[in-house]
Amino acid sequence: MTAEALPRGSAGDAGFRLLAEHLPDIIILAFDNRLDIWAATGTALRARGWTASQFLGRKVPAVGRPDDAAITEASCRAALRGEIRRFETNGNIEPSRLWAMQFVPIPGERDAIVGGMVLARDITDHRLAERQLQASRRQLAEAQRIAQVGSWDWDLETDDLAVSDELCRLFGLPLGIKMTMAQGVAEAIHPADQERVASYLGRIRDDPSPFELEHRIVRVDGDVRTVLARGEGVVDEHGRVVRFIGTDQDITERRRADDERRRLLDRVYEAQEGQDRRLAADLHDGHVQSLAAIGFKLEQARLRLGASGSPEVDELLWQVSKDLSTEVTSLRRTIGRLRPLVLVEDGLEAALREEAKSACNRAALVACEVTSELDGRLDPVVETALFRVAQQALANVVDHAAATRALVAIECSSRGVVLRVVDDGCGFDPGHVRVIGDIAHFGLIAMRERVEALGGRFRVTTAPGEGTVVEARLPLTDPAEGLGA
Amino acid sequence: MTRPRLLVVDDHEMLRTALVDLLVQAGFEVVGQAADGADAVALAKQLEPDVVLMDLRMPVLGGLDATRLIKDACPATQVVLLTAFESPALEQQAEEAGCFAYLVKGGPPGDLRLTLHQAMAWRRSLLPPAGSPPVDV
Repeated sequence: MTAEALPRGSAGDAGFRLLAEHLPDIIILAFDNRLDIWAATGTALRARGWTASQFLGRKVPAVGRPDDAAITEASCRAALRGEIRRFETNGNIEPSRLWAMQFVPIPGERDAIVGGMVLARDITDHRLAERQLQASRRQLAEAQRIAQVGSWDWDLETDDLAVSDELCRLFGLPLGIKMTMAQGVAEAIHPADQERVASYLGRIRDDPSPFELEHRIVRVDGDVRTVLARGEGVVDEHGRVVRFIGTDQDITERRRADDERRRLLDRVYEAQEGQDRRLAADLHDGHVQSLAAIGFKLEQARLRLGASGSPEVDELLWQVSKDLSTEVTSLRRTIGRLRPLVLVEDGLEAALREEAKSACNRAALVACEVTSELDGRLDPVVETALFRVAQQALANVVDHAAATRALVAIECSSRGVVLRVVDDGCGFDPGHVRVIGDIAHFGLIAMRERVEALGGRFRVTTAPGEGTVVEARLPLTDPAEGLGA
Repeated sequence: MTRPRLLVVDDHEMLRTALVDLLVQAGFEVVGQAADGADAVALAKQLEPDVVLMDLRMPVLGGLDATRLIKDACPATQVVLLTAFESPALEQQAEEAGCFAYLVKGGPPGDLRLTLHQAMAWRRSLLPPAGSPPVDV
């Protein structure tokens, strides 16, 4: 008897057919009170090329693995008592396959049990996928633990916030905690950052674009950590933002390292600039004043000699005064290079304009234009670095480029500031310069080191006869958090 | 002929002395000296000099602030800034503060006296006509 031989119209027949036709990877065996198989069908049977005749008339415990005979028989008898039993086992014909065996009763009229069914499902692929999923979850959790990254999922409609175990650990919260975003902000975000974070979350509700937000948290144990939140919105079929998913990364150590690096940079800056500043102050407050006083005395001597003195002596004194004036002017320029007062007092753009003007006076430059997108002051360390690069680049233009026009440009973006010094001069072969060791002469090494020490990038683009572009890119820092103040 | 009356202000004593000696030798009348901006303002109000020769960087009160106060109190008094700093930005600030001229220390010989005479002439042009004819300096 096959499945098709079941009495049509019975409840067992309908259920049997439904299961047989629609459930994937299933074998269905129907058995009677003696555990004899009287029907065998199912997608898994057909898919494997097996036939019902391989099963019909055999006892159910005999078609499975011999090791499972006892449990199979017990399960069949339980089904005949109206119970449902389940176990998992490997296949008899294909031992590599894993089967989920379910034993259910077949009810007859007046709730009498007329037999049982074995629903055998090949769950090998399902279990493999399940194991892979579990492994992926473990790997993800481990990766989150190592990277100190926690993940979250924020439902905008309910405000529910689902968080990963690592995020709980990061915030010092109990694992598996349920909370809303509002509760999370109120309870975990540092009080000084709460308003900013809440305001930011309010602003992005309609914008699914990826975002980054740095803020502090206060762990349950009171420890304050710095966190970088990254996320993006998920939209529904109408384009409406319904969720945000993202990660929180503990960047406390990185931020501390950055702070330490900045502190060291500040010391380097102070060592470099402070020495120049002290020397400039000594020259300015001492030597320039004294030389100017000597100049006044020489002029007084000339006046005293007046008409009574010899013209030769008068001429000599006038010449000495003039030479002295020239030397004082030179000394003042040296001081200006050591400590550009205008940079300290009026900022980078004003200092660059003076430097450009000075370059025009010292070279055959027709014009040296300065353009700037700066709006306000930069960190003093950044200002000084960019000014020194521009100063050296313009010195190269004056001394080596034979240029007629030059441009000093400052461009700003949210990511940083770019300085370009461009000239239309003779240019040079960068490879040749390295070979002959003139790179130090052009100050290129010093410029590069100054820029790279601040985490920036330095580039020179040039070729013989093609002019030169010196470019320095520096990341921007908040002047309020500056180190040189 | 009235000699130009000057107030010399500089915190560098050696330079100030040399400057005063030169100016006296050149025929100017140095009516007062000061070593900081606050003293300069007080003396300017008291003496009403024709011209104040003013240093830029000084203790207590700097030259630019002192200039503003002097120009407020004595508009006809001319202030010539004499500084060791050569800077177009500072020159601009000096002009805005009301300085007549901006000179750098150790500049070409003769520039200082020429500028002081020009300041004096400008100062006289601002005064109401006096009984005596203008002094030829």
